[in-house]
Parts: sequence; structure tokens; C-alpha cells
Amino acid sequence: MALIQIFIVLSLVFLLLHIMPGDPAVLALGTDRTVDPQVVEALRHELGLDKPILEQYLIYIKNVANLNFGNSITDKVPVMSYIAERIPRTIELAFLSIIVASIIGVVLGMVAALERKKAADIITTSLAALGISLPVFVLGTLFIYVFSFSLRLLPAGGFIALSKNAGAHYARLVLPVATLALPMAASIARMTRSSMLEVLNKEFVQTLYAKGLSRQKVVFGHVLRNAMIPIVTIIGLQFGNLIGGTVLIEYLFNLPGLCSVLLKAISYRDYPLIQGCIFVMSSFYILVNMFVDILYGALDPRVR
Amino acid sequence: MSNCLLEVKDLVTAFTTSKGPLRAVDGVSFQVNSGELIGVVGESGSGKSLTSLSIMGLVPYPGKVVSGEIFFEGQDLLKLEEAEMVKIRGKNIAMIFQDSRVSLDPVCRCGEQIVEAIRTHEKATREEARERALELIGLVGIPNPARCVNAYPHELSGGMCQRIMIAIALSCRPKLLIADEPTTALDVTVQAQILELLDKLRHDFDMSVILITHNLGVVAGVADRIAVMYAGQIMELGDIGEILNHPMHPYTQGLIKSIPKLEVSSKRLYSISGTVPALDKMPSGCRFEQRCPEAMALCATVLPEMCVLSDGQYVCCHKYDTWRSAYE
Ligand SMILES: Nc1ncnc2c1ncn2[C@@H]1O[C@H](COP(=O)(O)OP(=O)(O)O)[C@@H](O)[C@H]1O
Ligand SMILES: [Mg+2]
Repeated sequence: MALIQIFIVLSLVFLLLHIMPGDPAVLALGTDRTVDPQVVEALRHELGLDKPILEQYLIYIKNVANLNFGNSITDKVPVMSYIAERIPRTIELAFLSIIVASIIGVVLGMVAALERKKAADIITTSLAALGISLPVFVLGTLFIYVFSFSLRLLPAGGFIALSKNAGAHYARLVLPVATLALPMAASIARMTRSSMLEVLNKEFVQTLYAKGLSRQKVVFGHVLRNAMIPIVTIIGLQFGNLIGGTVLIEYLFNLPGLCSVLLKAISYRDYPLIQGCIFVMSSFYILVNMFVDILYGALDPRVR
Repeated sequence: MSNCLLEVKDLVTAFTTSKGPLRAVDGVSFQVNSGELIGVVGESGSGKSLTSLSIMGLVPYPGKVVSGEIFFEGQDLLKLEEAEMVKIRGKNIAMIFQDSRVSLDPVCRCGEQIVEAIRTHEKATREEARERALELIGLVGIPNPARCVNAYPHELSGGMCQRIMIAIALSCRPKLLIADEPTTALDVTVQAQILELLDKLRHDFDMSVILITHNLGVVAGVADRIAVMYAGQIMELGDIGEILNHPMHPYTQGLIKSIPKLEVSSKRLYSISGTVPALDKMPSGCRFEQRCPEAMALCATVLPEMCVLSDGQYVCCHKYDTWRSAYE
């Protein structure tokens, strides 16, 4: 199933790139008008762009199956090594953000559901509304302004390898992770709250109390698990989107991740690089969805 | 009485609303003796569930017990802290509910739900508890208990789920079992089986049962005594045989007439005309007055008092004002 999805995505990418106007070979050689047509022709041949489109497509599919995306047009580095270098940074950012967002979101949402009609609920819901409505780049800029320029607590961005200096590595991740996590935490909190409230009103909760269970045991032993499916869904959706959704953040915080590669690839019409990036991103998205489906089954016997 | 297990005295349970407190249970008093099965009968909305939830200390928000006393083995449950009530719920007083399929945790195996009930109140290892759960499942008449422990509620029928509910309720050998419409959601044949089971188990386990139903026919065969409730109050209380043969209250008479009988199924089923008055529109007089075929002028304005007809027979109706008041 997941393989078919990936195949469809790749075919669409191929089609789209070939429909778009503009010759990649010309672009790759620079915008200089005086480019020798013979040189362009040589490059087109090297890239296989002079072959019929169907043949190009078949070659493309065969290469992808072998995880071979060829070399980047612009600097001749193999696409896969390019991606392999950059993707750990994006994945680290995505994982940290989703973990932070999930913890904050679920905890806040639970507090709001259990302390219904009280101050905690009002604070959480209004925070959540704010977090959802604020665009990430506004939030990111605000964070940089407050924590880097005004308070001088954290670096505004950049990248230092973990092996070089772990402290500095993570210090540079705090702001981007916070920027990404906050709006996600807000939606997760909202979903957690409404899902918990729904489950708390179900009849089996009364049975649990009638058995003599304490409130904590009812909430943590039963209600949370029953409320989990919509929460897992929204976390999965956000995580799937995150791998492509970090573009602005990587840009804003000057992080050399996958998204910066993609931006560069698009502006130079670097076919192999674009295809590689999209392959990785869509595979990630599809894998996350597959994992969420498996989780559903584990969480709810009725789904199995 | 010496063998009185539970005594509810003048219980008032109300919902706080913008229109002020609405008394859904209004001055209910009755007692349950050891080993007896008492039926609580009345149309929906007469406050039967709320009465039982008041006993359990589980009245849903924004409801609240306003006044009264509930003595269980001589101890007023209403004076207990939540931490103490938790030790009584499920252990000394257990409760089962109407729709058993939604009353079990859908993501938790049936056996596990029984094990949890046992381990909440007793120091038993997981294995001991599992063994007892298996035993209980057999006891409530489920064929193939070994399969059932590992089943999820959605894999079982409504009747089987209700048996699991009963197994959970019995897990700590309670002294009192409150069954709130335990058969309403079930087929007629399954209904009869569950009632039979409850009747058998109360003897085996030597426990008292409060059996709540809107269908007088359900309790007719199994109850020792019944309390007839209407609009938050008890209208008639006493021995089941006595009430079935000589119903005194016009409401009870109406309920008896509306019991479906197999032989006359061709005729239209009798039902008392009108509906239970809304909580915010309770009349100041007798609450049944608007629907009562025998209403008198007095009924519209003055709330009748509970009268003692004979030992243990009570009725709340102006027709019997000449009898001695229950409070004298
Ligand atoms: N959450 C609630 N808020 C307001 N009124 C309620 C609520 N729950 C029950 N009631 C009212 O309390 C009355 C008694 O309800 P209940 O005890 O469930 O009746 P029964 O079990 O006899 O059908 C009904 O009039 C019902 O409308
Ligand atoms: Mg009810």
C-alpha cells in the first residue's frame, strides 16, 4: 500500500517537472544569454533530457527503485549523499518538535478537560487559540527578537554539529523547536481536551467509579487510552507535515537542513535533487501515516 | 428493624440550574433489609437512577445531594469523605447499569475489567485475580469462560456484557447490589435469564438487591417488596404480593394495568395518559394530580403525606388521609 502511494507521488513529480516551462540545462549553465548551444546540447544528453519522455520516465522509475537519483545538476554531487548529509538535521528538528508539542499538548489538554470551568481551562483554551492563529514566522521572529536580541539568552540560529559541541548544538535548536512546537501543541491540546471530555461523559466511566476506582485510576487507566485515537491522529498528521513544514523555520533560523536543499533545487530547476527531496519527504509522510494506522489497531480493538 | 442493611431517610437530590435548584429526588425514604430484593418502579424520569447514584455517591455534576441521610450498616454515607466512599463502592455496594455494552470499557478485555475490580479492593496477585475472574465468569452463566476473559466487550452480545457487569459487581462479594434497569436494553428471553440469574445469585451470595425498572412486570416475579416512584417521590411502598393484589395508589393501579400480558396482546396496551411533569414545573400539590383519574380538589394544592396502611405498607395519597400518618 505504502509502496503504491510512493510510486504515485513520484510519477506526479516527474510529470509536473516536465510540464513546467524552462530548460533545466540552460538554467544549470547560468542565466548568461551567450551560452553555447552545443554545450547545452551536451548537458541535455548527459542528463538524458534528449530522450523521449516515456523512456525518461522508465529510466527514472528504475533508478528510484535502486535509490539512485543521479547527480545534482548544479554541483555534480550525488543527490543521495546530499540528502544523507542534510536530512538528519531536519529529522532531528522534526522529532524534537513533535515530542515537545505532544507532551505539552497532551498535558495541557488533560488539565483543561479535568479542570473544566476553572481558570486552568480558560487559560489553556485561549493559549491554544492564540497558538493556532499565529503564523510560525511571526512566532519565530518574535522569539528571536525576545530571546536572542533583547534577553540575549539563546542564539538566533545557525548550526553546530552534535559531535563538535553538544551544548551549542542543542542551544541552537531551542528556538526553532519552540517555534514549531507551540502551534502544534496548541492543536494537540485542543484535541486532547475535547476528546477527553467526550470520553469522560461516556457511560463506562460511571461503571469504573462504581467499581471503586479513584479519579486518577479512572483517568490514567482508562479515559486517556480511550481518548487517544483522535489525539494520535492529529499528532501523526502534524508530524507528517513537519518534514516539509520546516522550510520557513530552517530559513528563519539558518539551519542547513533538507528544506534549504529543496529551496535551492527548485530555484535552479535541479531535477534530480528535487526528485530526491520529494521522494524522501513523501516516503516520510507515508511511513508516518502507516505507523499511525498500526497505532490505531493497538489502541482500539474495534479497529483491528 | 434489626436486619436493616440500608436506610435512606428523606433524601433530596437536586440539580443546580439558572432557575435555581431543581429537586429530581424529593424526600425519598425507604429501607433495604439483609438478603431482600426490593424493586424500585416508576416511569422514566421519576428519579430512580438519581436515587441509586445518590446512594453510590456518584450524582453527576451539576446534581448534588441536598439533604437527607443514607445509613449503610449504621454509617451515614453522606458524611463520608470521597477517600472513604471509594473503599465502599464496588466492595460493599456494587452497581450495574442499563446498557451493559456501553458500560464496559471498550478497549479493555473483559477479564481484565474483573481483575481490576478485584485488585482495587483486595490484595491479590494478578494470577489469583485472574483465576477468580474466570470462576466468576462461569458463575454468571457464561459458556466457555476461558474464551470470554480475553474477549473485548464489542465481541460479546448485550446479554453476555450484562453478565460480565454482574461478574464485576460480584467480584468483591458486595452486601448490596444496585441494578439500574439491568434488562431494559435486552431481548425478552435474555431479560428473563438475567433476572433469574440475579435472583439466584442474591441467595448464593446472601446479598440485598435494589432492582430498578420502569416495567412493573419485570420485578413482579422476583421482588420481595417494591417502592413505586413518581416525579422524585415514593408513592407506594410495601410487600410485592400485597401491592400487586391490592394497589392502593391510583398511580400504582395505572402501572399494573399497563403491564403487557401475553394473552391479550391483540388489545392496545394500556398506558397512563400524560407525562411526568418537568422538574421546573412541579405542582405544589400531589405530583400525580394532573394525571390522576381520582383527583380531588385537595390534591391540586396540598402535598399528601405518607400514610401507614398496615405493617410495612405505605401509600402517599389523599384518598387515605384518614389513615395514620407515617410520621406519627
Ligand atoms: N444532568 C442532568 N441535568 C438536569 N436534569 C437531570 C440530569 N440528569 C437527570 N435529570 C433529571 O432528573 C430527573 C430524574 O432522572 P433519573 O433519575 O434519571 O430518572 P429515572 O432513572 O427514573 O428515569 C429527570 O427529570 C431528569 O430529567
Ligand atoms: Mg434511569
